[in-house]
Amino acid sequence: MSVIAWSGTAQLAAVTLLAQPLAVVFLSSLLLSLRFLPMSLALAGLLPHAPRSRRVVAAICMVDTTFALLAAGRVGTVAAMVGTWLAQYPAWVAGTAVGVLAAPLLPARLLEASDGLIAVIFAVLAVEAAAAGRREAAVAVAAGAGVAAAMLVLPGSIALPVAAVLAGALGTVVRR
Amino acid sequence: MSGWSVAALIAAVAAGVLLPKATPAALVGGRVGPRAGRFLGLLPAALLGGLAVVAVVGGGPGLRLKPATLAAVVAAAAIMALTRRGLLAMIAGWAVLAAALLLE
Repeated sequence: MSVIAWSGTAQLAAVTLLAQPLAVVFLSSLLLSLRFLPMSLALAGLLPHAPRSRRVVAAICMVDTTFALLAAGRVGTVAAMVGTWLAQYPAWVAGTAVGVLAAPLLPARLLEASDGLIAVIFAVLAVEAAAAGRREAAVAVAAGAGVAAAMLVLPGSIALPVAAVLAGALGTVVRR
Repeated sequence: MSGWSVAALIAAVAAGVLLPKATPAALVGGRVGPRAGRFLGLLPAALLGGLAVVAVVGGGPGLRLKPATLAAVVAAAAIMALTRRGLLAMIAGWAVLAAALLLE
């Protein structure tokens, strides 16, 4: 599954839904991937000179980390996005295989640390993107607060796109 | 499960992942109005702010704050804001994470 479906969250969900009808698996996977909707939408602003067909290729290669690198200006072309995908893909597939075999042997603290490593990367890239201007900083903080509030009742996969789109829209209409 | 069932399951997951990734990129053209352009320009910062929070508090629903992760993220964000040096900020954050996990 790792070779074809490029989303850890959806894969994890599918493992728990093995006995369910395919429609349930599809809908669950779709709901868990809703965060990609605004990311894919943002590609029009982040890759303004790329033809639409290339933006679709970039969108297909996109995961959270790839988007974060693009949004923070660390990569700026479709080719670079595909390059980050090529770098991550073997590690992704091999990591899944190794994880299946080795996870029971690893200490829980090490697995907890892996979440923290990624959180640090996202935090640094968020500060970098927010440093572009006051409006960007305000929108990043508003989206973060909105996600935290929404996650009291919603899963992160739904809270994230909802809060990000609302914060972006608010930042667009507020004059100062 | 038969081979066909596994293949169908993988196809269902892949379709659910690929649809939200590819559809907006396929539908939005190269030229957008000024207001839409401003919105699209702000979306990355909003998404990154949100992603950082999701990474800190877990998948939800509910907030599961891990003190070690929170300390690492605060340290990394502060160093990034002060120095604008991404690699330094990440290394500092990871060092704080390792230290906090060892002390727990």
